[in-house]
Amino acid sequence: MKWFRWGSVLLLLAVAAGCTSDVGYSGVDNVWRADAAPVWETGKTTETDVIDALGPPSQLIALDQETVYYYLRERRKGYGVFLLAYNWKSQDLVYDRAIFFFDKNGKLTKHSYSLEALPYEEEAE
Amino acid sequence: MKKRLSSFALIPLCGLMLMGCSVLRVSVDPGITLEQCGFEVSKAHYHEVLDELGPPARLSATPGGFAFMYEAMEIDEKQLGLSGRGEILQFLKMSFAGTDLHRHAYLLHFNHSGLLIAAGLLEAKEDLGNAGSVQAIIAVEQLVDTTAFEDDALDASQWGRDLLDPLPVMLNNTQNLNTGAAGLEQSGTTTKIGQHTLEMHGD
Repeated sequence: MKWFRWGSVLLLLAVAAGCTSDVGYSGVDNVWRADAAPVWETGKTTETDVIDALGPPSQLIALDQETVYYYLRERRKGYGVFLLAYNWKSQDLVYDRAIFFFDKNGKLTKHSYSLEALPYEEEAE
Repeated sequence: MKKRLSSFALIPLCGLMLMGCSVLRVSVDPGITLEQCGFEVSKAHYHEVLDELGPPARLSATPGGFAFMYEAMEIDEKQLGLSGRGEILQFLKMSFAGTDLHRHAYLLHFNHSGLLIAAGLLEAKEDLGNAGSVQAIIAVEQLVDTTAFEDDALDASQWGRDLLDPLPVMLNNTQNLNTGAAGLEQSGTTTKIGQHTLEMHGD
């Protein structure tokens, strides 16, 4: 009888419990993580090469001596468990970034990718 | 007697069922670690910084050169919820919440040649505030508004939205700290400082 009572409580918790999961993206496609991404050469690669390969940047920043192309992709991933008496929910925001510095002639002087990478998902044709 | 004892034992159990707690966590750009923030002023070049840390969360031109800012944040909200027993009260949940922010911010300022001329590291735990609410049945939602710490990525790609801002804000866009031309600020900075004061925020 006792076991039945406790079993009912556990069953109620199991039935009333819930979980959630969601993922969302924003920003540009992170083509720089593709297997076929171009190899950038300092002093040779031009702004046009980068735009042709990656598309327009998220942000273009004008420095005094250089121009910066800043590419950004954001992933919001959330998950949670709801047990009535105790609920837990977590959300992670991860940014995949690529940055390119060009001199006044439009030649690449430096580029860098973020340490955190999101997998590149090729769009179906 | 035995039956009475088991009835008493059920009271705390019922109490437990009527109470609930929620833990909500938001991690923003875990990014860099403190060990990576040791670049020497007058020695480090921005190429070296990019090789080690990757692109900064924010970048801006400055009169003497340019600046990088790296940020990593974790927001923790702990809630305690109470439900009533009455006919209507059982469908309501009162929640009380407290929110903390753990933040790393690393600012690097370079001259025109790309040489590091100033650097600063902030490691802080901040109390973002407390809040209370009455919610229907059970709702696990954040009560303390932390959107100011989560919207950076959108600012870069949704600049057109600025045209829909209130007039004082839109007119102040040339001073906007998200354009990369007018300086930098940490996430969640109050609007009662610097350029933002021109935007006439009422609250």
